[in-house]
Amino acid sequence: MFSALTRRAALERAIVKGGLVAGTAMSAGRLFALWQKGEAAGVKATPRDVLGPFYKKEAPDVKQLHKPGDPGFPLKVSGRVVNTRGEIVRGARVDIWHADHAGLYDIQGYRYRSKLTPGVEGLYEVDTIMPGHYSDRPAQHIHYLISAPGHKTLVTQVYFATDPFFDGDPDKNYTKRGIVKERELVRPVRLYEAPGTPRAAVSFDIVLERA
Amino acid sequence: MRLLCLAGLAAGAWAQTAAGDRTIATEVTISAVGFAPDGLLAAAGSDRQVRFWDAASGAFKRSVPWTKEDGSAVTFSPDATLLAATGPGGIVKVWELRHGEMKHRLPGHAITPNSIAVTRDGKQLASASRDQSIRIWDLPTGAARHTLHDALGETGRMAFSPDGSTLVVASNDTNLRVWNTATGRLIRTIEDLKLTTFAMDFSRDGQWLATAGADRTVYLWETRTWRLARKITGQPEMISSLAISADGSKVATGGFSELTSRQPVKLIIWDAASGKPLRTVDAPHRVGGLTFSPDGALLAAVAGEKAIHVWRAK
Ligand SMILES: [Fe+2]
Repeated sequence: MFSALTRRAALERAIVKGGLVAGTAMSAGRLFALWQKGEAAGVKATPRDVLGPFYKKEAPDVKQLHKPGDPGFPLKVSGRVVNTRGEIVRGARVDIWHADHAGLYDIQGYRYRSKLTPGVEGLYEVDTIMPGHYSDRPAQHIHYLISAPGHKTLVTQVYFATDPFFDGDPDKNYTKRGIVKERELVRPVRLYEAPGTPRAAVSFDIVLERA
Repeated sequence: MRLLCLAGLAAGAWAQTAAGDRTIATEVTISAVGFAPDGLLAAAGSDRQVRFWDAASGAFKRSVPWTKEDGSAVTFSPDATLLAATGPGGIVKVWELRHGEMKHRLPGHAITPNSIAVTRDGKQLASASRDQSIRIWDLPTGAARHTLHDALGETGRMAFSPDGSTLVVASNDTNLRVWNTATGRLIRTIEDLKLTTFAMDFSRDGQWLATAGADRTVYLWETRTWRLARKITGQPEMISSLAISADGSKVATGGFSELTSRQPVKLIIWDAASGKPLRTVDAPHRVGGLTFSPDGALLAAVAGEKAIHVWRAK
């Protein structure tokens, strides 16, 4: 544990040596106040969402969820599993599942389903396709079920800011039809070009509460 | 005269097929159906009326009022003498249908329950909510008896054993949990299923529980040991509804398409012992609330929003 005074001294040294740089013109005192405020807030836990009726147990631990030639826009989803203290969570399992391009869940098998083990840095990553729309829940989404020793199991979902469902304005329209409860679960989509084809990437960090 | 005409219209028009099956087009959305004593078929409609017909002749008998809330869970007690429905503010309401009066208003859930079940004797009610609790109520008094902790707060179907001593709860985590209703203790968690159960029914003697759901299979559990005894396969769709006949000889299942609830599906009556289909009929939409008449001759369901279907089961 550090006292506020020694912490302040250390931070001031960092400011002098260029290890901490203010984004805009800002006094050292203001910078320190902001830093303290940020630490007190910690990291906010990822909001919950519903599990839904199509979860399937015992999915394989695979990074590639689609097969070559599957219809749908190629999508990479990645993020880190941390806790509300910002620590990397050890021993986490990330269950991910979503509908295919036509909006159907694979019930017979495990297509578009994976139970991932994040790497040493808490990183997880999957290559898949953009989920389709289905009539009961017409916003594209990926389901998550994350468990880890010493932490509360989290059930949540990720939505896409590019989804036509949000009419181009997720800030305004995310509550439409009561499907999405939390704005932060609607993630920005980054488009990029990988060997000749356009791809989409979404980052979604998972913050677990300690049990 | 005008009033009479309106009553006649809303009561529903019966159409009969050559096979003896009937469809009642109701003009109002039907939330639940049940077979009541004296050979009556009961249906709870969105116009806040519970209607009773003579199940054999189709003659309209009477109606009693209830309160339909948007998106509420609605269920009849097994003998359709009670109707239970959830409402805003987490409240469960119970109507006694003989005299058409509201008997109980049960507050306590933080979030409106999405699933309810009533025992065969009408003395206990279970309500499950996304507030991660399942509550068991004593119906004669309306007292809350137990609050059970629900794993992830997503209970689908619940079923009481015929004697009311156990409550089986199907959760979206795909597990079945068996609760002792007297002590409020969890007796067993059945973790064998990989996919979620959408429909359940006990045999009348309480020795069997049939469950079915997303994987299109009927599982028959022996309730003394809670071991899986048999499976019945052959339903082409996911199973949304299931009923066991009073004599235990038949199991009926109705399907639904995950793509849209408006696609035609199958209703299948199975021989419980052999697992062979006895009768397969087309249902226009997702089948819900399947129930056999007490004599096992008829099978009723909500299939589509504004229709009740009554199939011949013998
Ligand atoms: Fe979904």
